[in-house]
Amino acid sequence: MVEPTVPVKKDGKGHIIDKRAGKMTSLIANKKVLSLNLFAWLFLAPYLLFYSWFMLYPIIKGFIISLYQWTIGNERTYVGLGNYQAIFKDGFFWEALGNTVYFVVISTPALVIAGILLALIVNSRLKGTGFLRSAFFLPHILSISVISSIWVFVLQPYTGLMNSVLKTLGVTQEIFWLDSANLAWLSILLATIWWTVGFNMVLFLAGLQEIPDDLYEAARIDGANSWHCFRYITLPSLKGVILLVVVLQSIASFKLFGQSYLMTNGGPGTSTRTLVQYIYETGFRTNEMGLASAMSYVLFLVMVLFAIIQFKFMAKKD
Amino acid sequence: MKRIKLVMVMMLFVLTVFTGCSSEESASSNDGNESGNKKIELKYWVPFSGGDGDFMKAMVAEFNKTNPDIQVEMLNLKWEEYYTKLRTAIASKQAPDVAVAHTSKLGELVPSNMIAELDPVAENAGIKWDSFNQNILNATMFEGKHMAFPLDTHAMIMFYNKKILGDAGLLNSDGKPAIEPGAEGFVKFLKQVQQKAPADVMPFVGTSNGNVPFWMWWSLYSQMDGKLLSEDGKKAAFNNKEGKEALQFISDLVHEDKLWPKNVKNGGEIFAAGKAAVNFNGVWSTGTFEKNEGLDFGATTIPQLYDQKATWGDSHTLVLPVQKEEDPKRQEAAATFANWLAENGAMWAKAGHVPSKPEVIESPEFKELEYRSDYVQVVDDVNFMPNSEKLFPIGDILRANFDLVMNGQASVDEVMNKAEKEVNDLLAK
Repeated sequence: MVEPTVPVKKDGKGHIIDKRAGKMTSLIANKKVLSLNLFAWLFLAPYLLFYSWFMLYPIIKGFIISLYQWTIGNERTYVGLGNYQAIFKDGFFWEALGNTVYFVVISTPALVIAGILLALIVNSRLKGTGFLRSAFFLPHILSISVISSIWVFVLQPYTGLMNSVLKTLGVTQEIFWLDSANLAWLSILLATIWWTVGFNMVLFLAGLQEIPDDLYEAARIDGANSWHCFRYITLPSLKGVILLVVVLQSIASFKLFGQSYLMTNGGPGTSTRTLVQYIYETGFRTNEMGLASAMSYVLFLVMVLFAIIQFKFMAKKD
Repeated sequence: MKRIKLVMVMMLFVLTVFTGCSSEESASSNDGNESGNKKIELKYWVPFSGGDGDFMKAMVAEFNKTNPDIQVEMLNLKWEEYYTKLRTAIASKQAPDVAVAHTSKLGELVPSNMIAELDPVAENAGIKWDSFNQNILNATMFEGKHMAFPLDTHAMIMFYNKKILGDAGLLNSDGKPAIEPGAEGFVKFLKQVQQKAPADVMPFVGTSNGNVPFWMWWSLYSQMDGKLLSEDGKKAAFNNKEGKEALQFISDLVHEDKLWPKNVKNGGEIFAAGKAAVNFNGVWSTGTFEKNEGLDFGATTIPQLYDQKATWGDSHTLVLPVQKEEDPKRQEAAATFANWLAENGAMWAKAGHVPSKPEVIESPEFKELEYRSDYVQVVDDVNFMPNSEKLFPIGDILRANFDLVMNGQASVDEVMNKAEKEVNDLLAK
């Protein structure tokens, strides 16, 4: 392979840079840099190609489509920002956006806290943590249709597992988990936590294992109890991971679709219909591709806005 | 030197990635050439991810065996994404030669020029249009042109538990439920079930949200000769006395008379478990229910509660998606295949569906099948929904609104006004 006669360093973007290159104006060194760069690009090229093809191109194309009124198979008409104007007048859009933000607000803290708790449990020196680790992570590998069927099966009235258990505990009334807006959200939240918390747990676990043991030892010698250790060592050390998980989680929650679509179909009425479901319905049921693309762009902007706020807010504390 | 080698390795890698694509393409075009000479190979798409898929698979295998000149390759897609994929494939000129489409979807496929007119090919392929049931066939015609080969009709029918009704003394001597005419008669019948059957038996059951209330409403509303849309298809026409009465009847079953328990999620399963006396469901449930050995059930058309017989129904049809280049030979082969499927509808009827050809209904193969003949007259009762490009989203609006009546959150008047406004907004877009 390449013999590293010149110390090689990478900058943030992955380009290989050579610290001495600036000082040494020798032609040979420049040539070397050039060839190293060439190699970097060669290695990146296959990925870049697929990335541009399957990510950049659709993103740009999507924006162009959002400027047209278009049904697949028909001629498209240019409407400029007309689709965006239509969105702002569409009550269903705002309802769906409100539902989505509501879910982000209830699910992000729940999933972050649950993730930390589970990570603490499996990181403790108890027996059987290996088993728990896989048990907590296992639901994550199931597909969305499987987990939704499981939860509908558990939560459905008359024959469902949950109500049968409650009945043996003395609850005589049927509880309709999926047929009132509040309970439906609770059910979707439960299913989502059960499904995805394992991933957050793994991220936190990695963060926990990075914390050196001597910090805890020193604290213990100074007389700190478990709560102090957690509050003043664990939490601050996890700050970076928490930021990462909060951002990833809120993005994931913004994209909520499968659980609510399959468990409640956005119902009762449209009270759990999320923005992604509304985009899907607009694009593939009503066949308004331009309108659906425009909605996707609005969702994208809202998500970017959220991420920026989170970074600002959490970075300030540093 | 080492570097040059590395570059070559990378180039090779990149090349293999691309040749992977191109070799596939050349392979498929070879197939095309071959088929021109002898065998015609057809690509056939279906949305039968449920139990129906196995029956269709068996039919395709049988067709391939008996028709060596035409070989059909079936691709079974998930129902939820079927039409999305079909539309996209047609738009990108990679459509299958023949595909299943519901009659209710034709109103969307025809105006956007996604499927080919059949009259030019039908004659050469030996299709006799008068061999189809005319009620089913008419629903697939647009401006006098044939756009689809109907395979079946699948309607909403009534299933009843013979053991529960028999024990309660509510079966006639011919084994049919003793229901007096009209809406009152039906409610009276269910009330008798409630009194006489064991306490844990539901007199009436159906899944309380989504399709069942919607189909039931359409059935009852059609019995009063109701219309979904105005003549020109641009306005909602269901917010009227009859539309409200039909929905009120359903609402009363749940909230007023408590004959249909609230918020049921799995109506078919509860009936299959023998915990309900009467279930309104699609004909395809016959195939599921008859697999339950302990279940002694009967099937019949939905009782006439109002002025005329009518029920919700739809059809599976076969359509010829528009191709990059039209090949009359392939189209004829596809038409031959579609007609063969309809002619062998007795095989398809195993899934519960009612065949589209009267001669099949009269055939011994069909009559041998249990239950099917008891509801076969629905072919003439089915009131197909009107052709509209927006029929699917209109259905979404009505389902979402009816759900609010079913869970007791809103009144009939409220949801009818709301649904009317929403449908008008949708149609005005």
